[in-house]
Amino acid sequence: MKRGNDFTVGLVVIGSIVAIVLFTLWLSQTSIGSKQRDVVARFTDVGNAKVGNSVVIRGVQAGRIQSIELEPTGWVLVKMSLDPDIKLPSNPVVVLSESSMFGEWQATIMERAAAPDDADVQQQLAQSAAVGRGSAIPGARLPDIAQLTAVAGRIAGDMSRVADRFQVAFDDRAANELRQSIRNFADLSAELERTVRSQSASLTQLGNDVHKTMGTINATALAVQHTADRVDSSTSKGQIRQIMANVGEASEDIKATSHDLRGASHTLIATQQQLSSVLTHADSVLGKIDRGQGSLGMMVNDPTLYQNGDALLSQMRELVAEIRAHPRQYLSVKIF
Amino acid sequence: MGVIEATGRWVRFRIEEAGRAGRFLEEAARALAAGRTWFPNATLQMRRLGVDSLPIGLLIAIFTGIVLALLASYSFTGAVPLYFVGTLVEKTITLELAPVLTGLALAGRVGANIAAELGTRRVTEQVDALETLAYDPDAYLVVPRVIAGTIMFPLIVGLAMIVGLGAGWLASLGFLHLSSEEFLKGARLFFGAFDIEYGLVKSASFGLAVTLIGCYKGLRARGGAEGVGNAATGAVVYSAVMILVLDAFWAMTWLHGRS
Amino acid sequence: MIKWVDVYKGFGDKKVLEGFTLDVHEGEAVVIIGYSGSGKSVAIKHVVGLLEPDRGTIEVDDKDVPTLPRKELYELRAHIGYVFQFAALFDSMTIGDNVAMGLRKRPEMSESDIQQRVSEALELVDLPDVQQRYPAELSGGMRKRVGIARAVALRPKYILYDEPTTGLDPVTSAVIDELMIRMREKLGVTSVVITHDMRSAYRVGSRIAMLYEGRVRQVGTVDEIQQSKDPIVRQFIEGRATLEGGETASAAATASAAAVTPARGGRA
Repeated sequence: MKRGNDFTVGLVVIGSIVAIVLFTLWLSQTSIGSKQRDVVARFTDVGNAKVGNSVVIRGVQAGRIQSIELEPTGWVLVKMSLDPDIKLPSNPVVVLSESSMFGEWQATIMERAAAPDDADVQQQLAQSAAVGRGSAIPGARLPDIAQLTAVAGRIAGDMSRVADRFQVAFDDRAANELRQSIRNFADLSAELERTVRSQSASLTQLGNDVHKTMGTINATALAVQHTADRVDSSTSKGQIRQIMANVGEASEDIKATSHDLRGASHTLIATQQQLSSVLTHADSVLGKIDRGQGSLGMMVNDPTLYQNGDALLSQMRELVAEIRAHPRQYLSVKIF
Repeated sequence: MGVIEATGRWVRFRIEEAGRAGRFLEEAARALAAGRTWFPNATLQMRRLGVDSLPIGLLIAIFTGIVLALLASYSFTGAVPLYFVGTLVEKTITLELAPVLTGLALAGRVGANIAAELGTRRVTEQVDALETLAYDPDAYLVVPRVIAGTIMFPLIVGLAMIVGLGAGWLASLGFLHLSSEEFLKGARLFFGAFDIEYGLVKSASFGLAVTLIGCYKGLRARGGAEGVGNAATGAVVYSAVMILVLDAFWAMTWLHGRS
Repeated sequence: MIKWVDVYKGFGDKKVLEGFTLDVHEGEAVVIIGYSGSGKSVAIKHVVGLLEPDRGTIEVDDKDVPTLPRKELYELRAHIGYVFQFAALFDSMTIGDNVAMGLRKRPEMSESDIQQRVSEALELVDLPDVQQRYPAELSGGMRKRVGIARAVALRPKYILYDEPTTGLDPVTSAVIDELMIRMREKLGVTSVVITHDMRSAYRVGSRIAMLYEGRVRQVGTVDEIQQSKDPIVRQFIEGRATLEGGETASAAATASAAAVTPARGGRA
């Protein structure tokens, strides 16, 4: 009776103690038995990192922070115990960062070269490495959520400035100018045709010359057509002005030449037809532009639409570039 | 005049009571040295006060765990990810509910048991009889119970923590359709061995208080069955109050200021 | 030798002993008589240090009990057997364990010695076959005898009996009286017996002391008491409701009865 009682009590006491200890170890994910390997890192500042926080290598939990000590020299030494079979990178650094929005931190061990390309982080790593090579891994801490939001705010400011500048560069006036230029071109073509028609009676002796000149006109027309194609895909008003200037020059040449066309009437009919077809083609291109087809046409008729689209595109590109430049800064933060 | 007199008498009585309680504590502490007297009785008391209290302690833990999981999911609607159910269950069970609820249940069971038993022994002169047989009642009756309570309370509470978390886990799987991984992720998110340590130390203090109060009330029982009844009632009431006071005490001195 | 020297003891406002003085010599059997609640139990509880006097002192074998250090007090208690009014057996233990209780405190005694002593003591009270039983299974008279056996098993120098025959039938009372006489004659035990049963007092006592209003009213041999001229003593030993003068004594009796509800815990 007495002995049975002692046995029961002993069993419950020992069983409970074992159960509680195992439960604690299991919940805190401490491995028992296997020897842990200690790694020490040196920091200027450890932010909100605490004993027991996870140590992560390539995104996989590899151990825990065992102790955090403030050295008399002002450095903070963080001792991490890792699973023994884990291989460290050849030139390791430790970066402390937030692992959730609720203030939980983690230590990430990574290759020196993979450390975030942030001036502050790089400076911390360099300072830490300079103190004692070999004795401790250099460490740095990333800004926490509050600092990150500040960075995000700065980026947003930059973007809106870029968008403003873009708007200034391509405002309504620029679009009107472009539209005006294109109308001029249409007027010019019409005038050219009229001139050719009015002059047809006196075009008798200059057949050969005209024939030669027509070659030039043909080439010019081809160039115009070519240029119109390019205009269709271009957004630069400088180029457009250049094109318009070229076209103006060409028409001056044609005007000058037409005076010599009086004698070339026998070939004129064919040439007239040829010119007419070229101009028709040019007309159709201009008509297309005026109807608002193609991105240039769109732009000419409603500049703000194109502006908005392009501003958005530009902001996206800007952000993607920024993220591509500092991937850790954005992607290591697991929100949940 | 009568009021002043009554107040004065009441104050004097309270001060005397405090003095008696202080002397009782001193005697109990001194009796600790008489290991040969109390040790054989300690295992018996550990079974009666501890092992036999396991079922009620664990039953409470099961229901607490289930209720906590459901409460947590209800409170978290939408805004907070559901795996925080695990965090809430882990934190509240280990830090507060397992120690306090088990403590209160055992205050009833253990406190009343001790007070009634020692009270009966007192009014039937068994305590005097012990003394005349050269036994120190503090060493023979009080210390084994206090030791048993102080050791067994944390063990029961520790098991209650395990069972409570397990119940919360199962409830999360069954009612909330949370996966085991999610629940454990939540439970482990802010877990520290300190949670368990705090809960266990707190329960040890509860065990100490409940058994000491039970013994004090029991040994001071007077006047037959009614006296024993009063002693048992007093023990339960004072134990329950003391548990809440100690709970606040630990929170203020130990929990507060830890970040 | 047990000596009460001018002992005063009160509980709160109630005064129980007021200058109680009495000597008990070796080999004597002193019977203390008095009304219920007149403080007889209180008086003998001082002898084993269960209570401490407010004033005065108690000496046992020239040792001053109230000032005795704890260790010496326990040594002294080992020589004094105390038989409680309702036996005060430990109800969670068998009769055998109850009787062995005091002996287990003595490191020099082996378990077989203890067993032998327990059997002897139980045989002495004519209860040889109850060792394995529990107190609740015994009658009141048997329990009282076990209580005596528990005291006797210690082979004490003194035995204090607190109303050993109260509530028992006359035959059982006689058996208990016999037992007390046998203890004294066979074992040479000095005893102090509290009773209000005069038949028992005359049978057991070598001297009788009457406790009245906190002090000894009269002390003397059985003959002296039987021939006492004191009206209070006469009234008590004759068991009359009124004093010889015709005045009712019930007022006095009630008053002292109310005064002493046995409250304990002086040195709990």
